[in-house]
Amino acid sequence: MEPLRRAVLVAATIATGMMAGLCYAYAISFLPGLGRTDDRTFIAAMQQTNEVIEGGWLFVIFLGALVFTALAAALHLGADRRAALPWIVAGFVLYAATFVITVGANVPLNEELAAAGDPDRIADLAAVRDRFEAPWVRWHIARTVANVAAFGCLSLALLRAGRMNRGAGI
Amino acid sequence: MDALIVTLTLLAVLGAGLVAGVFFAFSTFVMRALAQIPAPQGIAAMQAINVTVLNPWFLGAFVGTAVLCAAGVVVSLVRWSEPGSVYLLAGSVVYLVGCIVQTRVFHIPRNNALAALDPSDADSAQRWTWFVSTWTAWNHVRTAASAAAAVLFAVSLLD
Repeated sequence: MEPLRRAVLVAATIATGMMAGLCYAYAISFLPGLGRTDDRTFIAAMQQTNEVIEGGWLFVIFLGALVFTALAAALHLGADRRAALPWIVAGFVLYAATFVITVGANVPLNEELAAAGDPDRIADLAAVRDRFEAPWVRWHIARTVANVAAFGCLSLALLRAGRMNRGAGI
Repeated sequence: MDALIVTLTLLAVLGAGLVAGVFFAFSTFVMRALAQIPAPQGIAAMQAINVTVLNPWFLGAFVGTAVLCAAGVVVSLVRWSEPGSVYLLAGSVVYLVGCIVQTRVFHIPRNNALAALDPSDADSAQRWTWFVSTWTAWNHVRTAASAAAAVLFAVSLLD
């Protein structure tokens, strides 16, 4: 049981961390980079990114972070394992917030941008970009903060669990 | 495990995990998307990304983790009998070689070559195709190395 419990907590932490880093990449490099480009480049790159991002490895990690964190919480319910539990639960709640923001805010905006069609046939590129960019970036920063905080909580859970494994108490 | 090693390892988990996610984004979808749009736009977008990425947020995570790893090598060797030392050493070496050395040797020269391209030039498109395939292949290695380092640091905390 102990190797499984450790493996699940490590998997939850690293999956959440990879998602946090992925959001971080958007926030600190991809979005500021695209922000400097013209409307046509911005819309084309964003539409294409949204198209290729669906499915594959990303989906596994996006869902995996939620599932592994829930599983890690379940494996730390025992009275002798409780020291790590509050941090795992906090990590789960924060990552769930990232999940809800993504599904509730960013995905609908992506769908709206996709519905605008081929950038070469959009009459008013600036208007399409204006409706998309500011709210998308705002929600993106909110989910990035929640996701990085979730990663921090799970890392602290590792620390607590490690101290317990070494019998150093909490 | 004393407080110094614990704090260092905890920060290393966070740093390596974030860096792994950043490279993961480029490996899984950013480069694929940029390769599929018309070449002049793909080149312009990547050139802009390479300029804006040199900010304190990215460099803080990327270089900050390297500094932690350098300290990790020293601390783990000096306090070899402490629990988790072997994982701390392994994670530090994997990050320093797989991420930092590789970026310096491979990605930076290619980014510099890309910066010199004129997106609207006819032969730029061909060089862009070559850039995307080699840059992305080696980016998979950076992603795997930083993720492996994060896992090793996490295991070190539990040891």
